[in-house]
Amino acid sequence: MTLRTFTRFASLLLLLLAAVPAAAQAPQRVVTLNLCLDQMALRLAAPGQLVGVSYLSRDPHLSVLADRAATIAPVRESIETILTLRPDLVILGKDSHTRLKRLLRDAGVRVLDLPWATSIEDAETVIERMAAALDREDVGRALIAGMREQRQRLTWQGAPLGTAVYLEANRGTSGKGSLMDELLRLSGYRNLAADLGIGSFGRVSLETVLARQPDLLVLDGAANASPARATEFVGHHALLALAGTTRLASVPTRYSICAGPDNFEVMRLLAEARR
Amino acid sequence: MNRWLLLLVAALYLLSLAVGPAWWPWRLGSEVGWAIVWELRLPRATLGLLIGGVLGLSGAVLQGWLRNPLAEPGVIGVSACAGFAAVCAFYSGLAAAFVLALPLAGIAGAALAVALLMGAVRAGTGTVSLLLMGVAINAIAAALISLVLALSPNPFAYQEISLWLAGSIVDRDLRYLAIAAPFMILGAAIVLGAGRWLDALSLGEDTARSLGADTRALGLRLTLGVGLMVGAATSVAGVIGFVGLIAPHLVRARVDFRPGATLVPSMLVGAALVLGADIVVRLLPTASELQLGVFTSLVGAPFLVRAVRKAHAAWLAT
Repeated sequence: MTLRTFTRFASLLLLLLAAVPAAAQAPQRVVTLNLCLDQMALRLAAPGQLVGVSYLSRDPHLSVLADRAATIAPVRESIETILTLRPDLVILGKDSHTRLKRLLRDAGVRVLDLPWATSIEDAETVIERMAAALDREDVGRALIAGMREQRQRLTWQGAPLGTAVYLEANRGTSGKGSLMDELLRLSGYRNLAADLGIGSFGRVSLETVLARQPDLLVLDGAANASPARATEFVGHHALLALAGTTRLASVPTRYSICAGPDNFEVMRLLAEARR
Repeated sequence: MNRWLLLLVAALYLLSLAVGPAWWPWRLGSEVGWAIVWELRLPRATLGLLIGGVLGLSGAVLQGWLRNPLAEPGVIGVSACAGFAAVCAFYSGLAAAFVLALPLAGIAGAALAVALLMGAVRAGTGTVSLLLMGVAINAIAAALISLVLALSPNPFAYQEISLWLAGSIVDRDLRYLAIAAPFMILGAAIVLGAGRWLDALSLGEDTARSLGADTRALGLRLTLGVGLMVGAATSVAGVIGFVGLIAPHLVRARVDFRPGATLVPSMLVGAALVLGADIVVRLLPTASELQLGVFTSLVGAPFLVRAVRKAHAAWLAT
């Protein structure tokens, strides 16, 4: 190695070293690649800081912030689309997109893995970590404070309200350990699906629902505007037999699909159904 | 034999009306009890009866017609094509706009698959060629389903279709029964009337023609009949495999191997198999109910292995 190549190499190394801490402090071009992380990033990022969110965030049935997402480039899981956005930070779900993450790191892009939140508390942790990565801690703290205030205000304080069951596409339901389970419990109900031994996602037959006569039926309201085979079930005629005894709440998917600040809208709708 | 089979099917049908997580539903009040039996169990039991019947019957027709013991709507790709057509009707929004679009698309898909098969495989062609043709048709149908799902704006399409294709008759309402049952019954009537000619056809097309059969018209008739039955069944229940394979095998030895005589008993055995399997999945102690099609495949696939080995042994012997 000649002296000249050595100095060139060393200066390059210095440049890289100088660049890394700067990027770690406040990323300028951030991409998020998962509907739920998008929802948080759209709230946390500074104007112009977020340059790409997943294409799903543009769907108003899935995303509360669809309008805001529509002003940002939609991203699919392709390394080329992501790199053309010249990101300095890509935020992805933990345990997913393993190959994509490796390619991004190979291309010199910083990648942040954030865990999948299945409870409000998880969501607070994720928000905290994302806010730190975006150098927006104050916004993160304010968001979390707002969530805690809403949670306290909407939590049912009275006597237990009985059983509730959540029905979504394809006879799907959310049992023990799911976000909906937590929301039902906070709202004063016992989750029938959890009583039946169903895990975080499972299926329940309508006959079981009719037989157990829950006090509240939570339906995934208009799950999606595009034709879906699965949502037919939600409208089954037999459910009308419960009309006299069971209250009904319809919860748009966009409020229940991700753990995060939008979940309190679910609790508000459940409280409304009580009246 | 038919009388005993009929009794068995009737008993299973009544059992199907009586079994469920609520057991005796009238203890919950007459309105809920009525809804459970009339709107949930009745469509389920009746769909089980009809779908099992037409799948058993289709298996018997295809096996006799192709003179091939492995022919079955699921194995040779007829169900998959019906599924593809139903998926198209669904995700294009056609099924929502026009109720009959779903069964009609299923029927068109199934009939097309039968016609394709008959064009490529002459009756009496080796077992292996038929199975390979089935592999090809199944692969095309699966690829086309993926294509339609990729074009669908619904992000949950893959998940719901993989569930639906696994086959189930749970929680279908009376409307589904009303749109599919007439087509299944019509298809069954069309092929049952052809039983006599199926015997002639099993002796070879030339012999059948010399016995007075119009083989061309017969082919069209059987294609239409199987298309109506499998297409309508698949469009409401998804793919319930292997019933059409097992049923004729169980009855064949008892009717002296005459294809025409296997039709009615195969239909009854098919109905008994699906009704029975659907009762079993309800009673299995799983937190979420097992899909009916998954259960019939678990039971039926070993049967296919056995039938392949038997057919192979017979081929070696000739």
